[in-house]
Amino acid sequence: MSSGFDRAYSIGARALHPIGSLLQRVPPVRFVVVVTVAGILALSGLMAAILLRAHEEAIADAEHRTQDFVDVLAEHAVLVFDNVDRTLEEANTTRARLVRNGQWGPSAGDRPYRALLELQRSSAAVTNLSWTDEHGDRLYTALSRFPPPLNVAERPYFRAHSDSASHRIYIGQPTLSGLTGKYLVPVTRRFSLPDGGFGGVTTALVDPFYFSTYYQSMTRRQRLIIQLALRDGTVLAREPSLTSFAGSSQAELPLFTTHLPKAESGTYAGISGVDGVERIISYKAINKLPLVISVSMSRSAALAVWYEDAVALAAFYLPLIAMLVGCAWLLISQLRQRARRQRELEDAKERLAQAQKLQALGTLVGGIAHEINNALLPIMTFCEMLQEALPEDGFERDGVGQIMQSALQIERLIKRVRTFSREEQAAGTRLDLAEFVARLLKSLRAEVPKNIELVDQIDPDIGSVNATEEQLAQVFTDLVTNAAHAIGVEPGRIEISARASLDKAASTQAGDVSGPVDFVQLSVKDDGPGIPPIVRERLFEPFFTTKEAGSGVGLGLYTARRVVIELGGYLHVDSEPGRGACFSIYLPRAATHGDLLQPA
Amino acid sequence: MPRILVIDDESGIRSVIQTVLQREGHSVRCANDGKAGLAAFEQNKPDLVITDIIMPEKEGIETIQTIRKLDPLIPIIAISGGGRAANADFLPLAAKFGATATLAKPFGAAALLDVVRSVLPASGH
Repeated sequence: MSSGFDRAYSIGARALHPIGSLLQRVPPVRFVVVVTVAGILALSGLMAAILLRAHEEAIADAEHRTQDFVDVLAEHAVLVFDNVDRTLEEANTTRARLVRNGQWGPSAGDRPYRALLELQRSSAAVTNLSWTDEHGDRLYTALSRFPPPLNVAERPYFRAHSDSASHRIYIGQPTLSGLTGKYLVPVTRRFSLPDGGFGGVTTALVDPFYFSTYYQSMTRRQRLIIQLALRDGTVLAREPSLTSFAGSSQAELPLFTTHLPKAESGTYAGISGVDGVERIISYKAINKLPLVISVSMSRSAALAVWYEDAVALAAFYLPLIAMLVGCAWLLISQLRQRARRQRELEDAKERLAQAQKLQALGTLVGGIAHEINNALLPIMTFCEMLQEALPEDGFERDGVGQIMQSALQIERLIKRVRTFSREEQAAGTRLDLAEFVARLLKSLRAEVPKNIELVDQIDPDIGSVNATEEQLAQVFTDLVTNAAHAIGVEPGRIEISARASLDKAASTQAGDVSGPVDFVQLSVKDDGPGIPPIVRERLFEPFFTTKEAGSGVGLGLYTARRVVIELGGYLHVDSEPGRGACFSIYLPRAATHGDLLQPA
Repeated sequence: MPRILVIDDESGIRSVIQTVLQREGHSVRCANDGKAGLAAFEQNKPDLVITDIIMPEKEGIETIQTIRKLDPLIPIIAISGGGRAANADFLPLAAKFGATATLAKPFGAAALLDVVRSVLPASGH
């Protein structure tokens, strides 16, 4: 994945040439974070813009709808009251004709009643029609042939008509009917005598339920509140909750105190004074009638679809964001892993370079020490012999003694240098053998043929040696390869063991300064045919091989032994024909810190 | 007169050891590597073998192993100036693989003669 990212990163950087160099200077992790955050912000911004736009559109749509309803309902109210008005006009015309024809009064029988009844039945909105005289006494009513006496002279509608010659209809406040127990809206006209004088009032009673029933079909579907009221705020009809509001006054509400005085129609938003719900309210004062129709929709109803859309969008947006963040997190952890591996690789390279330097130094020191020691031997030996041969008090003997002292000084110096080099090398090239052999076995198991069983016996406390993994791995691999070759295609077994050698070999002979040394023993043992003595004699010679031509040049074991000797160890073979072969690598155990503090 | 075989690839070392031992009355033969040393050993078996460790052709430890197989009792003194590696100290390995005694270079005539005297009587040769 990392190589694909590298390619994409590089292509992107080249493509965005003007800022390409800037991109290449930005650390990848920071780049991913910035891009992710920018992506989230952009997506969130887009989401917010979409939702905000949709919100505005939903509110605007709600306003338009309420306005449309108001227009329709205003027309409906005009139609209804026009119909009632025509019925009232007809009633007046009928009364005048009845009077002219002498079909009025006690001698007329029930003729006026039947005429009123017929007129009342011709209008769906009118529940009752009645005539009064000029004093306010009810004369006839469509509801009953023999109505109880009723005087309406004190009622506002009677006084309005008696005080004015206007023939306009008067819509009064709803009154509670004594007969039906329901609120009814009186709609009245003046009855004028032939000479123009006031002759009484013709009253049509309109049941607000007539309007409410019509409004119900709209309110249920659209979740609206529709109200028909007088301009003074008296509610004539309302849906829903007509019963609770008929005849009540809403004169204190903003519709009547603030908005209607400013404009005959409009739309506004506000908190309902009735239920405290935030609403969108459209209203219209009905032309030529003292009526106002209002339609309100709750804000939550207006935004219901918007809420659903927002939830749907969130259901898409949130997983997208989560995926974006998840991908960024994965990418960042991959980049961090890569950076960490890169750092580890560079550290390992540095350590390897350091180890190689130290090893080279150790080799140089060892080589020089070896040569100087060889050169010192004849100096020291002959100095001793000369001292014995020279007279005791002669200057020649003293001179030879000084030569000897100088030689000893050089010997001590060489020892110090070797000790220092040994400490440096120990610090830089310590290889834990148990871990090394375990790692090596993993790769060897994949390379050894299937007919060969590879077993191991590793002492976990075997300790460390001063060597690099590369050096020992090659030696081990060569030995295992040789063992597998010796076994051939038959079923066989190779045993790899690693243990501390308990032989702390030491010499107590005079002049010996080797001291006790810990060794580790690494062995590769096979159950192949074994090595004949004549072959074993030449096994470690360069270019000696028993393999077919083209299968090897015979440098494997020679090189392996040279490497082991370079490490201060020894490669030994133990084999008899028919008894397999065991190659053992002996290496000095790496000194611990405590050992290094001991005198060399 | 004990016969001593000295095996070392450095001619100067061979010469010094030969001089010191001959002054002491030993008969000394020299060989310049393990292969020549084994040939000399088989040709005329000595009473003592002094062998270096790091040599071309055949290493000293292998030479010691081979000689030990040919004669389990013969005294063998391993000498070494250390390996090319700073921590190379082969004398303990030489002892493990059959050397009777070891001596680290450089050594003086007295140290050499002490070691030779200590191994010759003990061998019974």
